[in-house]
Amino acid sequence: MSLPAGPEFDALRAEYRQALAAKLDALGAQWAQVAGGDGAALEPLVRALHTLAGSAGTFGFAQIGTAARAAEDFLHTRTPPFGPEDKSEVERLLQHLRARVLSGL
Amino acid sequence: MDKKAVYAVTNKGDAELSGVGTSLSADALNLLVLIDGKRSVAQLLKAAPALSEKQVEEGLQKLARAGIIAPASEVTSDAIDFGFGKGSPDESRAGLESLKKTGYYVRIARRAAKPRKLGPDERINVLVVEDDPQLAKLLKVCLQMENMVATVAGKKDEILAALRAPPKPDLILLDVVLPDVDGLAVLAKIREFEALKTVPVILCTAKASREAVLDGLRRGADGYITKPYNVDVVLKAAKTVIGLP
Repeated sequence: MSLPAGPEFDALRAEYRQALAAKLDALGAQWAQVAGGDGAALEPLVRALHTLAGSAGTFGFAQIGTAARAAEDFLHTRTPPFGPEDKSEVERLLQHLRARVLSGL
Repeated sequence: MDKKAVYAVTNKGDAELSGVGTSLSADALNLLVLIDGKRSVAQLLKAAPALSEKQVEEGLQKLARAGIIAPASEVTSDAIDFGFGKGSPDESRAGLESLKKTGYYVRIARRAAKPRKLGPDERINVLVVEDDPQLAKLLKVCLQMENMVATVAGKKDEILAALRAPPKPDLILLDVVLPDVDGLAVLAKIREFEALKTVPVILCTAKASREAVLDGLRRGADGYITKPYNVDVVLKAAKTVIGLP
């Protein structure tokens, strides 16, 4: 997936790229809440990952979308409270997502 | 009807699901979404409880006559695997479980019953329901480039306000996973209201499973586009459901 060519689309892609860091920070904060025992924070975290999975590829960041989808899919199969193994896996998936975002910036 | 028969989607059927311009009936489209080259007719019947055996039989015959599906043994492997990224070759429990798999990809848009011709100063009004601000902006820019007027809403109160305010939208692009309301519940409400029930709705969502697609179509969506997407696909789908050339 990629955006059409043209200055308007270049600007929109740049805007999306710029917003990625904030999205990543928000995901990190949401996961910290979930990992800290706040089960209610799981739903917004999964929704944010879902949104990122859907939008990143549209803006040409397919690997970010795939990484977000992997984290979303894993969380869909788990319910809080998370044990150490699940926490470790989520952190691994989020770290992978972070690496994809940083490589896209 | 041979209930052990297995059908697969042909290249022509593939085009129906990804070509943003289908003329198939709702029942036929539902069946087409279910057919994966692995399920038997008996399993299709279980996976589509809303359809009677007769409807399934007639639907399969119609799709086969149109060359949209064919016995799985006659279809090339590429077409059989279409859209099912993680399908297992041996799905002995091929029912609702297999529908829940992600990785399905469709670009469905049902053609408008009548073509629409715009007057010289007439413009198409589109309500874009999308909670990702950058994606909403992208859609708005693209729609404006097509001389359409886009209104964006990302939350429940914004959606309600946009639906109540004139002019009535000619089209709604509807995300499903939203912060404070389910897009499918929004679709249900739209279909309940006399003034809005005929407005075409295209679901644009990252919910990418056969089950999600079926659910959206059964609830009255005129199109279903899985994210990520190319914006030109969304524009083509928009024109198709409105009846524009």
